[in-house]
Amino acid sequence: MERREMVHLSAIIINYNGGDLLRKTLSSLVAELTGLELESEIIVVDNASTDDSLSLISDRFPSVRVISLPRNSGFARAANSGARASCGRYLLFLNNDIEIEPGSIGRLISFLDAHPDYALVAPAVLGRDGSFELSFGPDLNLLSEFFLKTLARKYYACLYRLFRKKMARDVDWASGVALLIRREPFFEIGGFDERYFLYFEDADLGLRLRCSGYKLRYLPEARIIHYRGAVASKYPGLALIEAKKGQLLYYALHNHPLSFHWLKAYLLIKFNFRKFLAWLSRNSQKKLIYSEVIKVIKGSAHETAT
Amino acid sequence: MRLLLDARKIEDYGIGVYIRQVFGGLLEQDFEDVRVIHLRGKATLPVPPEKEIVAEAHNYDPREQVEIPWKCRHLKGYYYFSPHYIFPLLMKQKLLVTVHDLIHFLFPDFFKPQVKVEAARYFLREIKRRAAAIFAVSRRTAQDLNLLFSIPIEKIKIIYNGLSEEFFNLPPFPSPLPFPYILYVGNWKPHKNLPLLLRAFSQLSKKYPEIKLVLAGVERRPQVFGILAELGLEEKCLLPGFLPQEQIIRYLDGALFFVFPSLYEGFGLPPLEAMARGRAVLSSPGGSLKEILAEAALYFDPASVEDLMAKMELFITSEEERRFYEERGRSRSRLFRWEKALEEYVHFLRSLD
Repeated sequence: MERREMVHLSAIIINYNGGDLLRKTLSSLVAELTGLELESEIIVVDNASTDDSLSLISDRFPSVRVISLPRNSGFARAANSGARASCGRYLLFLNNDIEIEPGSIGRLISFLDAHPDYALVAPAVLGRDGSFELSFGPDLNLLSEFFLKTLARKYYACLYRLFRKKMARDVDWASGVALLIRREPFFEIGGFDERYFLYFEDADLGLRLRCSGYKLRYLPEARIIHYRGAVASKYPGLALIEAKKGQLLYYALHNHPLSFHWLKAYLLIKFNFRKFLAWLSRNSQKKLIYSEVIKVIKGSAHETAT
Repeated sequence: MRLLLDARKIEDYGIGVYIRQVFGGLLEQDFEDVRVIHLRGKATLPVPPEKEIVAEAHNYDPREQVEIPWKCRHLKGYYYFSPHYIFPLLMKQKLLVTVHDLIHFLFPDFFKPQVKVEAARYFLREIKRRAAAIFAVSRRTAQDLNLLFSIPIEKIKIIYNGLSEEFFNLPPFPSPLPFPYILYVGNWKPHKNLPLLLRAFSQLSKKYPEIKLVLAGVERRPQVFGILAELGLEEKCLLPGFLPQEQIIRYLDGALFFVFPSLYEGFGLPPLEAMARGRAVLSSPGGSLKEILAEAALYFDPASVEDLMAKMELFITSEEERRFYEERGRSRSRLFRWEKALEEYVHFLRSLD
């Protein structure tokens, strides 16, 4: 029968030119999974990396399945391909630049085991130096994003230092750096929205999960370290452009048209100003990136998205 | 927080359990003031008489619309907590309401006359307009509220029901019947889909004549006996009628396995209770059932007699298969506890102030 072929957990790592960090992620994941007594599988979805990140995997981690996509099609699409190829009752999505603190995955799984009303649980994300990273938040709109960009990190970091135990809370969305989700809800809502390339697909997922009546949990007893080495710092231009595209798409889909237009106006002013500063400091590379971003913002329209 | 709990339905089968567990639990919390509405001459929650409001009109009785608001007119700043979506419309207090299921709207053909459904629709629109909080007992119920009445799901608080502790605590009883039997617990309403079960069972019993079917909780009405006679099942089917909880536990303990063909449930307590007593459950995936039972039950197509028959036969012949689901069911049922539900109610109610 079908049910006997299901494994308990599928870990899905989305990779794009992860290099050594991917191998580090994998070895911490393998160590973590061997400690847990459950059936699991590891899938690496590769977004057509151009570096050597895949070369050593088959030797050092023979049990890992690699799915190579023909071209770089973004986080959401890669995550969905990985999920479709998986056979786990729980799906664990991971970035390729993290390290898992021992025991964390077990805690995430036992939380979902004990709470049938929750679909998703996310661990605390720490920076390289062990500092707190904001990896969850309220539904995004102009006001909440202002809060997230300004006060939220310090506020939550302070809370985290003082009352680590009490940080466990229901959240509206949790960052895609690391999240554990049940298989049925994930497919029930159609997985990640593939129109997002990078960023904001996690906020979108959280919103749609809650619209189907599921709950999401942030669980600080489980921790991962995020090295932030991969895409964002290697390709700053790409990351920035995709982030803004994602943000505008999210606003077009889930917010009032007026706030979409406010956001667009704000972004235009902000990036034109930055472009001006780059011009002043004779930084032609930055200037080029900002011109690209401005083009993207101008090109986005509320109607085309919805 | 000041609460006004409507416990008039305490003797009902399904909602009664809810009232005893949730309202009974709320009474033990240190809220500022809790008043309870009781029905004269019926069972009561343990409250001192000065906290009690005694009503004459039962829920559904048109008189309740006047009597309850009149008797509660002096209670200002209270939250009126109705365990059902039919409530006295003239209540001045802020409204809290629990929705258990929306069968009336999903299967309107089963409920004649049509006026009843339309009236219920009116009550739900009122709830949408003015409830301070809406509780749903499952994600499915919340989704239906969203689908049928466009109530945003974020506005609905989903809190799962629990299982009474007796289902976990009581030691296993010997079988009350001297022959092997398959058990169903529930009433005979059209959405419970019992004709399908009976047809599948009548075919099955040709092959396994020693096995019988017990329909606990089914009303002993001539119409039901008529259908049994039609299928030639008078000898094979037992109708013990309505049973108290302890009797249900005894019947569960003796059963070969549990079968539940319902097309729709708001929560699905009976199969979960069967799981708690360690019975393998064969269930339809209708309504919230798949959400609540998850992987701990074997599902069949509620439109197919053949599928149900094949799966009942699988359970009869394969002890290994039964053990597999018994094990899963036991651990699944442990996730649903009233104390957990109560904690969520209290937490949410405190956040309202």
